[in-house]
Amino acid sequence: QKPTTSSSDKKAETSSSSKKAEPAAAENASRAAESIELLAREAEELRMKLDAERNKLNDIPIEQAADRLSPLPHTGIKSRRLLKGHAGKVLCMDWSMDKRHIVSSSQDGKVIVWDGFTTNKEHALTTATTWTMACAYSPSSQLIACGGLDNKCSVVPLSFDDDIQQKKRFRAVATHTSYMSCCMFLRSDNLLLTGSGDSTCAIWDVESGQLIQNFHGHTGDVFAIDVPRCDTGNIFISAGADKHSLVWDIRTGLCVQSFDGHEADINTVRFHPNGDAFATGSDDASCRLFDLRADRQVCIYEKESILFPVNGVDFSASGRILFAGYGDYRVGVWDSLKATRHTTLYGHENRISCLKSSPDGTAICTASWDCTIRV
Amino acid sequence: YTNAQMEKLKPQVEQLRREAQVQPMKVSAASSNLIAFMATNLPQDPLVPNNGPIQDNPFEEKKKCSVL
Repeated sequence: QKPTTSSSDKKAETSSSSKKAEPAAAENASRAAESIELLAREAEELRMKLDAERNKLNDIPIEQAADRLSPLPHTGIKSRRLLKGHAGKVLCMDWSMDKRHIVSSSQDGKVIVWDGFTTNKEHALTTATTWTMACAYSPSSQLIACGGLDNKCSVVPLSFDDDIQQKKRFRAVATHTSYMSCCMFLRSDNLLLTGSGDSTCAIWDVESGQLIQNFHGHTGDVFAIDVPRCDTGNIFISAGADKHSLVWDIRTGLCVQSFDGHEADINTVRFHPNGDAFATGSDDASCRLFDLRADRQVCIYEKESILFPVNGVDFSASGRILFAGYGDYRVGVWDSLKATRHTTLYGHENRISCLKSSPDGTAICTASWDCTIRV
Repeated sequence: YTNAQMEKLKPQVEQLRREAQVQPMKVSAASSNLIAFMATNLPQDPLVPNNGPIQDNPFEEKKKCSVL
């Protein structure tokens, strides 16, 4: 016969003592679960409210308003300069504010500074990393920032010393916990803005290398950042693998607006020259226009026949044209208001990795995996 | 488990609360602004030809002058 009495007594004993602790623990657990449920419900309600608000105000599509505009004339845009010299895929380029010089970085770790008018190479630098995914010119044109797989963004002053001397002057300013995908100087030679595969953006003091502000909110790699051309705002924008574009307040580090719509990674983002709208390009083969004050997507640029990712977008000076660089080697020239593709530019022999308008809008520059840059 | 959920939810909800405070504009109004900006700046847009004075294209090949 089993000694049931004693074991059941023991059971009764242990269960009564643990039952005293149980109510307190159980209560805490259920309170926590309740507050989580409340928060989750609030989140859901807020999202629905925001969507309803935005849809209510989506009264007339922009293409309809643009119907009365006369169509774009034939632009006559063509490739006027071919910058050859990189031995590897060109991953990024940036214009100098002098509207003439261009810096570019490539997969083999080389950074080249070009005179866009003469096509001469003025500087050729070797960074310590391969896949130099981003490069940028400082506003004064005296500094270059670059980096990539080394998780850093380094800064080097441009001078006419030889390359070996120059290499010594590369100084790491930004450090992320994953690759650095995009960088730009923020209105001065002393502030650097970076975006990273670690899903954050950050602002750094160039002189001291100190982190000034970081920006958490993306739930995936950040692939692109931009700052409005007009200087007075205190915002910047970022976009990436989470298919969202986020607008950040520089001073507080908080996200103030978020935009969704794309169906795949966003590879590029650029403010409209008016500073109140921005365009994005994505792996979903579309470009989209978002307006900050309407707080939503206002236009989409897509065609059934366009199947390749968009890797670079930028506007013409008036915002009327949106240029898009695709993975099928072509540049689409879109009427941004009528949402029609005006022309296609051919020339590159591999995917376009980067596209930027010159500071005064006289030209666009494209960088490609075919190792060349075109103006 | 529950702490991690909280840590994730709280900033999301704070973010949504901030966004809910934005008073958005009608899309038609935003479009008007974009069209007006374009209209003002189109004549000076170097990449869109118009009937105005021909702007200097710094990337164009300069034609040689021939002196008779």
